[in-house]
Amino acid sequence: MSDNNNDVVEVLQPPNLLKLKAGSGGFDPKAVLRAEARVGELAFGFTQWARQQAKNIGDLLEGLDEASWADSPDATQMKRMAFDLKGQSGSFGYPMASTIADNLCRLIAVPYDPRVLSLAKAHADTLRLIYSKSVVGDGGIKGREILATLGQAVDFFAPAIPEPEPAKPAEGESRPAASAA
Amino acid sequence: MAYSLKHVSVLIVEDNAHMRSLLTAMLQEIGIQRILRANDGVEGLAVLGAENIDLVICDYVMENMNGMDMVRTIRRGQGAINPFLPVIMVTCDASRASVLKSRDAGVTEFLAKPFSIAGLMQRIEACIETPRPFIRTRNYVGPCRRRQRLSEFAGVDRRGKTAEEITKMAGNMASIARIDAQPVDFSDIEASVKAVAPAA
Repeated sequence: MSDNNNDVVEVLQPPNLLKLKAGSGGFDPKAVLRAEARVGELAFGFTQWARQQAKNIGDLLEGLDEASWADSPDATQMKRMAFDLKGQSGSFGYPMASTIADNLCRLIAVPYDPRVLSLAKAHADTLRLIYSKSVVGDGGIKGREILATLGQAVDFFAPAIPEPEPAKPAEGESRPAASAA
Repeated sequence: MAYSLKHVSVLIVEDNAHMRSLLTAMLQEIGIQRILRANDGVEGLAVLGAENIDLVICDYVMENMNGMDMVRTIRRGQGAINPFLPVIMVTCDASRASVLKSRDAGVTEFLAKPFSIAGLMQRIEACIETPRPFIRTRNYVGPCRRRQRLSEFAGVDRRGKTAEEITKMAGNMASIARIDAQPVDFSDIEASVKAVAPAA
């Protein structure tokens, strides 16, 4: 969205209700440790679910061909599952799986190529291995090696595209302290 | 003395059960007791119309109504919904285009998935301590989209303290991302990748 600089810009200072309720002093530092422990408890259920998702991705990939690669219910479902694993794995202690799933999301966005399909299957296999062996963190030396290998291959077929420059907000937004409602 | 968050109400709008559980657990452990949940934007708006909510944490990609459309509806102030509600958007699409779309929809803070407890706390603290003024133009309603510091600002500098605390929290998080000692054999996968990708 881009605003015309001649538009009227109204600046409002709504009451900070959140601050009024929360008060001051920041978060309890012990909360981080408590939250980490809770995440650890939840990770078991996530791992079981993620392992099944990785298997489902592999099964769906087996059924995809040139005709169904870009646009089919199975392809859409697989993309959604890969997207979910990318977004969640790192939060549950599996950052390596997040990177692998991110690779997979990039691969399935490029046009069909049998080599891309094979590479996507290799990613699904890696995901399955990560969850079944509970490879948390970056997977150590072996994990970093496989990440580098897969990353190079993905860059070959799905190079990153530079993003366009953003549209600038309205000029008046640069002077928020100028007026108040 | 730390924040008192027991009277703060948070709405989580997220279609994935694991993420809802994760967010709920994190919020509970930092002291938030009233946590409401919705599966998509339509449900989320229904909750916002009926309940007194102080903070919304919503996913970007959801069926029925996505997070972006939900935030735009909030900012229009539909029905009894407070248009000034702080909204933290969580998404695994952290591309510049996605961040800009979120900004232009009126999102308060953006949190890329996968996120850590430290990242979530940092965004919540930003909503509490450094809320931006609201801007209303012909094409936009939401928090000021410019975040640069004003040279004439003479208030208390809270950012240095926050950054220090966040660094400390990030250090604690490192314990979660431990490297598993169990050796895993990726050789079959490496061989299959090398067979299809000359660059690798």
